[in-house]
Amino acid sequence: MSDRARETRNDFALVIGFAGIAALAWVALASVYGDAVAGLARVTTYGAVGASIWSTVALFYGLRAGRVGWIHSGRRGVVVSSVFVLFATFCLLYALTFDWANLDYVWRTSKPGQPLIYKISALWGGMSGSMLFWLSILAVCALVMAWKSRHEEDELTSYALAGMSIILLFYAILVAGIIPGIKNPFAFAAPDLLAAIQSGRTRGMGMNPLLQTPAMLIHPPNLYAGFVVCTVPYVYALGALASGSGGTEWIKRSRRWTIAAWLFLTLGNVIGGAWAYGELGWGGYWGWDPVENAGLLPWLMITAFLHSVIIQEHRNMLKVWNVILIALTFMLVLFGTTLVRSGLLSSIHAFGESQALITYFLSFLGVNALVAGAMIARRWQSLRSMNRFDSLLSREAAFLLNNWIFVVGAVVVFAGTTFPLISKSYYTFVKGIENREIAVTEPYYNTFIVPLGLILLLLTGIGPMISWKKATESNLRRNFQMPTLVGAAAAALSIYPFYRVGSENPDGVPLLKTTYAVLCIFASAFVLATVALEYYKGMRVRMRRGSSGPFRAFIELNLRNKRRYGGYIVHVGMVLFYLGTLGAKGFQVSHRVVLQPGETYQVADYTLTLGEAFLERGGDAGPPTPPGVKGAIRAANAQYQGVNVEAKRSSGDTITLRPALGHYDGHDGPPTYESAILRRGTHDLYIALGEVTQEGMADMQVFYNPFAWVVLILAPTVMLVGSIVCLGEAGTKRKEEASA
Amino acid sequence: MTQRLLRSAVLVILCLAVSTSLLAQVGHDLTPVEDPSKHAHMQLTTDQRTELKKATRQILCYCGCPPTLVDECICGTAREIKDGMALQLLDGVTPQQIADEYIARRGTQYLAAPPKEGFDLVIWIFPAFAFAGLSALFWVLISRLVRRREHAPQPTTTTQELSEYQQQIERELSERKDA
Repeated sequence: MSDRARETRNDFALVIGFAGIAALAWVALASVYGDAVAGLARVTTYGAVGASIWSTVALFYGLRAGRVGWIHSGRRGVVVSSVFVLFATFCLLYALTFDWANLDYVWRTSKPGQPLIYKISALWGGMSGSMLFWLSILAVCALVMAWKSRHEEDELTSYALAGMSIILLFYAILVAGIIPGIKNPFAFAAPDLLAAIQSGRTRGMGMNPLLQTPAMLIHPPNLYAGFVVCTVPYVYALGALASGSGGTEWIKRSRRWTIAAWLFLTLGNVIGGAWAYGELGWGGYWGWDPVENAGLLPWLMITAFLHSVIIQEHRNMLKVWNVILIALTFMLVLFGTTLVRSGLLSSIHAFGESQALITYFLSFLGVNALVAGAMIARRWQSLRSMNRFDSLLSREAAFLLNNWIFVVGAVVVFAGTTFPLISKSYYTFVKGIENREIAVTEPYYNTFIVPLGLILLLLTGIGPMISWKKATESNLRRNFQMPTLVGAAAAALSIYPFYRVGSENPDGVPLLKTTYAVLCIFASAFVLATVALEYYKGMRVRMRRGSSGPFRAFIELNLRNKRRYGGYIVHVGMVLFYLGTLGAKGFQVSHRVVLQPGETYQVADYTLTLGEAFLERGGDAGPPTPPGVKGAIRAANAQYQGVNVEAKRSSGDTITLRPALGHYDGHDGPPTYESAILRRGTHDLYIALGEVTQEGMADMQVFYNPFAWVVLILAPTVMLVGSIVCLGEAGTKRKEEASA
Repeated sequence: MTQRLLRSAVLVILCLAVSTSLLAQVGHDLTPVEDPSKHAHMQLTTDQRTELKKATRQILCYCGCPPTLVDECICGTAREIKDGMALQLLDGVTPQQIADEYIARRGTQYLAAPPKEGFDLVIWIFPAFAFAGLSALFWVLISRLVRRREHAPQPTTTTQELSEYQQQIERELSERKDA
C-alpha cells in the first residue's frame, strides 16, 4: 500500500471515528437537550454546504494549478460534507422516531401512535425530509467513490469527485433551506403552533394515509437511489471530458454504478406500479401519470446507455453519443425531480409542492446542459470514432437502432408529459384564453409507445445474436432460422384465440387485443428462442469440455461470462414483462358492480355474492387472511369500512374477499381504497370498494387481470437476478485489472 | 439429434404455454347472472358495454382526483357518469356524441387525449416529426460511419512486408510449439 493510500485510509478512519464519538455524545445530549440537538443538526446542514464549497474550490484549484495538496484537501472536503449529511439524516430519523413535534417537519409527517415503520418512512414522506434523504444517498455515493478511488489518484477520478461535490453542494443548499420557500428539515414550528404543541392541543398531523403502505417503504428509496446513482456515471463522463481521457476508462469505473442505477430505477418503477395497483383502486399499475413518466425517462436513457457503451468497449465507437446519453440521463433526473417535488403538473404521485424549486432545478439543469455541451464541443476531435461500421447487418448497427428506439420513445414520453404545460401557455399567452387545460393520458401513449416497444422487443433478440462487424448469410441463417420459426409458430397459434377473445371482450386496451398482440407473441417467442439457443450452444460446449451435467454446465456458463448471460436473463425478464402487460392491459375484464346484500354477479369465471358489511378497527383480530389474498393489511391507526364478497369459481373453489375503505385517525380527507386482490394461477381477481351504504349496498369496481403478477412480481424478479449476475462481472473485471 | 430434439422441445413448450394461456381466457361469460340493481350501466349487453367503453375511455372523471379515465375511476361520480351515459346509449345516442356532449359541458381538460385540431394537433404530429428527424439523424450517422471506411486511406503495407510478418508469426509459433 502506498503512503498516500495509507494516509487516505487513516483519514477515513479518523473521520468515521469522530463521527462515531459525535453520534454517541449526541444520543446522550438528545435525551436531555432535544431542541439544542435539533439546532446542532441544523448547523450540520450548513456545514455540509460549507464543506461542499470548500471541496469544489480545492479540487478545481488543485487540478488546474497542479497542486496535489489542494486535491487531497478537496477529497477530504467531500468526505466531511458527506459525513455532515449522514449525521443530519440520522438526527432526523431520531427526531421522527421519538416524536420531536417541535420540529415543523416532524409535526407535519408523523405523530405519536403512527406505526414505527411509517415514522421511519416519514423521512421521505415530505418535501424537506425527502430532499435530505436524497442528499444522504448522494453522500453515500460520494463516500464510496472516494473510498474506491483511494488508489486511483488520477485526474479522471479527481475531476469526477469535483463534479460530485458540485452536485452535493446543489442539494445541500436545498436541504439547508437557503433557497426561499424551502424549509430546513430541522426548522422549528411557528410560534403559535409551538404553543399548541407544548400545551398538548396538537401532537402532529401524521403522514398522508396513501403513503402508509409497505410499498412506500421500498418504492421511494429504490427510485431515489436510481435517480441519485445516475449521478456517478455522469460525473465520471464529465471527469473524462475535463481530464481529456476520452477512452473507455470512465465507462469501466462507472460500469457497476450504471448497472446499479438501472436496477434501482427498474425496481423503483415496478414497486411504484405495485403501490398504485394496491392503493389507488383502479386495477392498473401504470397510468402514464407525469410523475410515473419522470421515473421512466431516465430509465429509457440509461438503458440505451447500457447498450451503447458495449459498442464503445468493443469497437471504440460512439464516444460522443455515450457522453450525450449519460448527460441526458442526469438531466432527465433533474427534470423528474422538478416534476415530483414542484407540483408543476397535476399528478396522483406528487406529494410535495414548491414553486421555488422549479426555478432552482431548471437553472441547474440549464447550467449542466451548457457545461456538458461546451465540454463535448471542446473534446469533439478526440472523441471522434476511429473505427467505422463495416455493414448495416452487424451488431453495432442493431445496437444503434436499439438506441434510436429508446431515444424516440423518450422524446414521445417527454412530449406527452410536458404538452399540457405548453398547450396551456399557448392558449394563455397567444390566444388570451385563460385556464384552458388539457390532459395527455393513455390513448396518446398507446398510439406511439406500443409499436416502438414491439420493435425494441424484436431487437432484444436480434442484437445479441448478430455478428460484430458484418453478419454473413450463414451467420444469419444459423442464428435466426430457428427463432424465427418458433416466433412464427407461436404467432400463428395465437391468431385465432386473440381475435376471438378480442372481439368478445369489451374491456382492455383495443390496440393490444389483436394485431399488436400477435406481433408481441411473435417477438416474445423469437427472443426466448434466441436466448434458449445461446444457452444451448454454450452448455453444449461446456458439457463437451467435461462439465458433468446440463445443470452444472448451465451454472458454469452463467458464472464464466456473467455480463453476457446476466444480460440474457434480463432480456428474459423483459419478455415476461411484455407478455404480462399484454395480458393485464389487453385482456383485462372490468365491471362496475353495484350489489345489495345477497345478490350475485358474474365476472369472468367468478360468481360474486355480496355478504355483510363490516366496520372494524385496524389491528383488531379479524378473520384470518385466506392464502393468496393480497391487500388485507390493516393499519392500527385506522378504521375500515368494508364488505365481505364471496368469490366462487366455476371449479367450485370459494373464497371470501374483504375490500374496504380506510379512514385514518386525524385525517378528514377522502378514504383510502383497500382493494382485495385474489391471486390465482394466471390471473388476479381484484375488487375495489367505491362506496358502501348503511343498508349494506356496495358499489365496487371488479377486475379480472390476467398475468398482472407476471408484471409485478415475476418479471422484476428475473430482471433483478440478471442484474445481480451482471454486477458480479463488473466487480470481477475491476479486480482483475487492479491485480494486473 | 440432441439438437433437433431440444429445438422441438422448445418449440412445443412455447406453443403449448402460449396457446394454453390464451385459450384459458376464451369463453368467459361477461353477462350478469341476474339483474342486480337499477343501475343502467349494469343492464347493458356485452355489445352495449363495448359501445359505452368507447365513450368512457375517451374522457376523464371530474371528481377532483388526478386525471383518471371515467372507465377506471372508482369514485361515485364516475358511477353516476356511467349511469347517465348508459341511459343515453339506450336512447340511441352514439358513443362519440356522448363523449362530445360531456366535453362541451365540462371542458377540454376532461378529454383523455388532446383533440386532433388547432394547436393541440401538434402533440399528434410531433412524434411523427421526432421519429422522422431522429431516423434521418440515425441514417446520417450510420452512412457517415460507413462512408468513412470507403474514403479511408488504403493500407500502405506491401505484399512483401506482409509476407515477412507472416513468416515471423509462423517462426514464433513454431518456437513456442518446440518450447
